[in-house]
Amino acid sequence: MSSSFWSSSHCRYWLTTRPAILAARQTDLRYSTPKQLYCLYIFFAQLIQKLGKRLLLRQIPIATACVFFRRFYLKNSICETNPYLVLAACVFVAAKVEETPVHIKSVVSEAKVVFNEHNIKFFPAEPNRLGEMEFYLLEDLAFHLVIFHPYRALLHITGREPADSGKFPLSRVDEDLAIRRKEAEAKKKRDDEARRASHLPPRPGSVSVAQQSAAATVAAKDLGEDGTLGESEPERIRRLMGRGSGEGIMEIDEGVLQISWFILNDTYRTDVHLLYPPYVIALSAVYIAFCLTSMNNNSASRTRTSSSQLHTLANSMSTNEALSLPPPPASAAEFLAGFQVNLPILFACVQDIVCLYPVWETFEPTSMRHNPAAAAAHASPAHAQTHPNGQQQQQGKTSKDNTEKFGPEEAAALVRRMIEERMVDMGHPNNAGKSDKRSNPPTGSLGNTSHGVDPLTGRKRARR
Amino acid sequence: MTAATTSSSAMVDPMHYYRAKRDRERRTVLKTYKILGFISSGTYGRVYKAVLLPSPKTSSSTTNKGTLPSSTRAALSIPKEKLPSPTNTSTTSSSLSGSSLDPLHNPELCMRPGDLPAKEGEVFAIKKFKPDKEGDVLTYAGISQSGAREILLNRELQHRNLVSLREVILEDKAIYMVFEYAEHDFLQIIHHHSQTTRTPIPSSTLRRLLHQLLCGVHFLHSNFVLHRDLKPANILVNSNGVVKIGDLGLARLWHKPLAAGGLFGGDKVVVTIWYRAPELILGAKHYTAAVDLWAIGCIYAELLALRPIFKGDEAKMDGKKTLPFQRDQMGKICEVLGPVKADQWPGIVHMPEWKTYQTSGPYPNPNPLPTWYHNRSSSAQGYDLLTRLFEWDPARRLTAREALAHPWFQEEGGVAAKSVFEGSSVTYPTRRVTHEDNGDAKMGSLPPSMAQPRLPSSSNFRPASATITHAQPARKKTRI
Repeated sequence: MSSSFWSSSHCRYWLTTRPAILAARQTDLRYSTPKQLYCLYIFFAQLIQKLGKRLLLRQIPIATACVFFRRFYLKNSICETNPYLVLAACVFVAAKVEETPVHIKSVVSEAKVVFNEHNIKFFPAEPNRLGEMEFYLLEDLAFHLVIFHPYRALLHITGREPADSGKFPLSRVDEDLAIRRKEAEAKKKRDDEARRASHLPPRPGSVSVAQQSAAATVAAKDLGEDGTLGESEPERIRRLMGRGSGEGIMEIDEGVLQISWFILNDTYRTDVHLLYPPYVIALSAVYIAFCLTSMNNNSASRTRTSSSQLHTLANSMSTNEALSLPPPPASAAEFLAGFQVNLPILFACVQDIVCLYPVWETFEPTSMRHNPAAAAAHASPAHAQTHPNGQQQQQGKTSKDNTEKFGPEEAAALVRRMIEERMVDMGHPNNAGKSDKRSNPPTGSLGNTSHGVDPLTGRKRARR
Repeated sequence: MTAATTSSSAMVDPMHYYRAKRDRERRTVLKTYKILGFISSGTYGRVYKAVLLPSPKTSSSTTNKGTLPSSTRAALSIPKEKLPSPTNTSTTSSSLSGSSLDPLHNPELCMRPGDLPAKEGEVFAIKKFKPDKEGDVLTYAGISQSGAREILLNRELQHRNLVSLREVILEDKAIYMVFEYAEHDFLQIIHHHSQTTRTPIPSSTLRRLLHQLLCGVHFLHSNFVLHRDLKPANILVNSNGVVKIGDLGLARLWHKPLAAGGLFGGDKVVVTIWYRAPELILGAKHYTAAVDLWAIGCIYAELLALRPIFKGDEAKMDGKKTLPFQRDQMGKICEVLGPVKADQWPGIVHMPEWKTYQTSGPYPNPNPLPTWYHNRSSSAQGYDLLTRLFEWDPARRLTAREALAHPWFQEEGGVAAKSVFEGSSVTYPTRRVTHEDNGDAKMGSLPPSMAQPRLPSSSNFRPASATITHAQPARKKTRI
């Protein structure tokens, strides 16, 4: 499973489509605008991140928790659950799954601190409730707990880690040499026997071939001269390339890798992990990183600073030459074109990632992003107040949407309001129809909501 | 009225509705399976033999459920369901169209994606994890790390030589894992030969048992999973003679980000003492898949000799923080393999317990293994395989892939037969299932007076699985 994404539960059951996601969010969209809902998911991802950091978790468990959270809400609605309890449970389970378990009591106490910072009073700070939520969460995740993250794919693509790590006893070059050596020895044996039969002394050159096993290039060249080998050239290339070892690919600048990595961290604020396999997400991040660096500096992708690429990779040029394989790609475009990826899917993913940034910026301006104290100072208790009348409130929401700021404090208030309204509607099912009508948000600047269009670009229309 | 509700500071808990909805959807263990009896228990909980019940025949009552009048619904205190959510309406309509297609009322259908389909009357082994208790009250304290691992790995991994998981049911604060049922296990086969027939295991059976075990372990290893608790009791054989590796409670992925201190940081003690590799005994902080291969060597020897080859006494922790050196176990290994020589394992001098090890001994017999082996078998290839599995240096020990290619498996007709029992005249007894279960009123089916006395599963006292007993000797539950 962990070796093969294709047979995993992640691949088989948990990659979905945009329409399916939208269908799952219909109830929530009655009580919020698409943009607000998008921001709420950013908000929750941020809370998961903060809670994870407080529990000293690394990025992978945090990322797993984010994916669990989004998967949970493919089957549920924010307004019909307590998202803070759910996200704490996601962190709790993810820590176990990623083999860095944390105690249930520390999750509860740290979650309390994080939520207090945001003035969220809606979290039951009892281990028992968290443990109970864990059970329900596992059920809704269908007990599928292994998540494939794009970080590994990114390292493979950029050659920082061979995709076959540990699977093959020899490196590609060594394996090739060993096979050629064996074949050469067999050939020499045949030749010797033939010569002995014809009473000719052995040629000294062929002995040296057998002995110079260590000198890679020399041996390869000599053997190349020898010509006739057991394996045909296309077979050989297929064998060498089929390992996916990452050897012989383009050198990728440390800066590009670093940017790609940060982009991947940001993708956990989007839906891409429900939509695309990890390698597509990783390639998208590399693509965006290439675009960003080439905008700043045309030669960035070719300048090598302190590269952490594998040694064999750093010499990929000479390696490929030694193996008489085609040279590694010279440009980013050529490099990306070398991957057999469906381009429309890749660019859909790129767009889904790029779309995050403007919304995120308005939700949490960069100046405030890493400063929870400043954010907390802005929180005014007035926002927590709910309007007594649903109709009025809806109007207020609409006007706020276009004119007023929507930040974390407003997000916390909205969550509370959504749940309250939903509970009222559920208690009075006869009014449900009315609330349906009322909560169809008017089409604002953000696009055509009645078609379930993504708030950000109206890109949905293009995809249809 | 709406205004009053919204403005009141006490908010309605949405989780109440959520839980009610999920509880309603859940299929319970006892409505799905009939418990036939109790198989075994451990620190984790208990295992029961169970049979899948047919779907309720009374179709009238099930169809009624969908059209239950709201008054009845209220009387039964079923929370109101008239939610305008699209998902809800779709489930309602499907349950109306035919109740037999509703997985809730048809146990043969799968509740969740990834569950395995099954037929009425099929037999399963249900592993119930002990629910947490505070005093006498059941509480949720979080599922254990081993429970989480077992769920996570068994939900992903499917292989002929791995016990398959049909479904997981959460109920009454306990986890029930429904596994395929296997009639035999290595321990029971060994016991049958040593106690009842008093004959060695037929060599063709032995070869296939080991080969299929290696196939399963190779599958685990190629998926980056270390089993870490291979022992005869954990390796099952079903009635068709197919080996099934069970109990992944100690298993883990080795590429996962490591806890501080590597693999060691997560679980201080792994592998049951008699099957524990020398690098673990010598305190290695970083170990590899080779620990599983050592255990397979021990199992191979036990299949040959019908008793554990290295039957050491376990040194207890005595409440100290530091793990004791397992001197007796190491001594038992050296008595059979002879003392370690530096050229056999160059890395040994870097082992944390190397100095402690040097104080043990002396072992007069330099290498008694050939004699040990030739008293039991005459195959030179078989001996070669055993010595390569008992390689001191973990880097030189055979890997599962290499072991599978060993020529011994090609001897005497090889291992092509699907069933390990093929060609053997021995019939093994079926798994002992009792009604005695005083620990769990819910699952127990007979009063204790009618219960048969339960015999220990082997004449040997078997040490329990490593982590639970030894990492937490004071039985102090670490809840994570």
